[in-house]
Amino acid sequence: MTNARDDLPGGPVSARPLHFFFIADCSGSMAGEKIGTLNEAIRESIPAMRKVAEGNPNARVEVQAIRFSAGAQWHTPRAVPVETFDWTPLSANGQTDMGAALTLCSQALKTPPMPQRALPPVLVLVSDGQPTDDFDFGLKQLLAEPWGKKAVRIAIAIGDDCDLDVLRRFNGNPELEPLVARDAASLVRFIRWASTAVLKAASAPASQAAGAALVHVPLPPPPASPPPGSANDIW
Amino acid sequence: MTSGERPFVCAASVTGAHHLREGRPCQDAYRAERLVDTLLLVVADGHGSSPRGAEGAELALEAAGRVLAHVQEEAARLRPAEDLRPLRRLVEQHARGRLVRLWRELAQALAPNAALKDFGSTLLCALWTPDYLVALRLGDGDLVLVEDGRPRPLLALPEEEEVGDETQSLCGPSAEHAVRALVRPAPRGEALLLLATDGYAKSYDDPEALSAVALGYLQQVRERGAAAVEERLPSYLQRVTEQGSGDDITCVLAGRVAPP
Repeated sequence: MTNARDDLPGGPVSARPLHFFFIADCSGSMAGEKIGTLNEAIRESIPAMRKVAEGNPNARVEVQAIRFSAGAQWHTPRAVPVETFDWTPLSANGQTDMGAALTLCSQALKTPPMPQRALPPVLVLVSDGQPTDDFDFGLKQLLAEPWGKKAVRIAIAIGDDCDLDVLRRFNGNPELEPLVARDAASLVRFIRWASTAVLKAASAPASQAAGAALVHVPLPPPPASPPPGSANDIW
Repeated sequence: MTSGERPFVCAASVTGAHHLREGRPCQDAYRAERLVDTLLLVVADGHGSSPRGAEGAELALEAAGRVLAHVQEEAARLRPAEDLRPLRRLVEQHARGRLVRLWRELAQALAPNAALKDFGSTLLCALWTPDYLVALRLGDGDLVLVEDGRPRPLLALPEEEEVGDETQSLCGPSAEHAVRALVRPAPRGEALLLLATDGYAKSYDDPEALSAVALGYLQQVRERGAAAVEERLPSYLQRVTEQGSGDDITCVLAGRVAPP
């Protein structure tokens, strides 16, 4: 006798994909300790990301990375399941073509390749400077995609030379200011928060009435940014 | 429903696998009734972000039941078998707004001081008589009609609305305008109508997968009978939520099949 396991109408089902993007500034000003700390922070966050993913078998987490300096390129050639994701260190050199990075990301958020049924993608933008290309164009391209608009977007500034207004516009979330890391420990904390707490929130969003809330996915509070002038400030 | 084929109704609802892990209850509701030659089918999905979403979904069943009963009463006078246009006007101009207003009145009567968004819910419903099929939708979820052996989504949403977990809602400021309506002649011959909450379709990579699902159920009803399908339906839905979206899933199937 056939049972319900063999004859599911419509065929096999699968967990909803969740695409997590690191968008990393690799301009010359990032060289040295900044890029080293960023590499280490992302590398260390991977086991915690896997743990979050294991806790929700109804989400299939895939990780991708974009680097930008003079132009923007995929740092990972394709989306990689978090279970097998490994971090290849970035190096720094050149300008801050953030707009190009957002344009490149917008292409990955088109439907297809992004399925309609996906969970909200998470975009983590890390930068220490000001865009040297057409940021407005890149942001416009990103927000023109339904998934770009509905993505959870987190901006992390390294040091005080960033244009926070640009990063606020990237976030597009009145409840979330860009996170400002002025020392290595803060950068590690912010990356960890984005890749675990934010990932968890995005992997199980509660359905809600369109337009009822200012944000698509309510986020847990981020770690506090130490005030400028702290003894540990190095950037 | 016309003679010749056997009418059937099956329905089930399961708590989402993710909801179970978080200790949250199912916030879906459904109603599936066969009254002589008429089918009344309603599915509602209370929002996860609405603390009283499950109650909102129950109120949606109540509102839809009353509005569709009224449509049926009026239709008796409008002679839809001869001309569907008066019935279409009634649904377009009155039923959509009445549905939203009634739901809001019911919510306010239940909790006069609560915010409507606390009760947020989507709604899919259909009234299938021997002469006509009326379907209404507000928000996400799916309606699929299999007719002449071909599945076809009804009242499909634009892509922008299908992306993400935000949805049009009975509590939304433009709910009345967001209700989509369909009035058409009753399907002839063997046919199946599937209504499902969004957790079902979100378990498949292919956005058109519920067409194959609906075809599969029609085949099973034909081969095994509706009672056997109704018995299996909860275990199917359980498997879909566990291995798929993790969301609450409700599925109503109704129609008629040729006798063996």
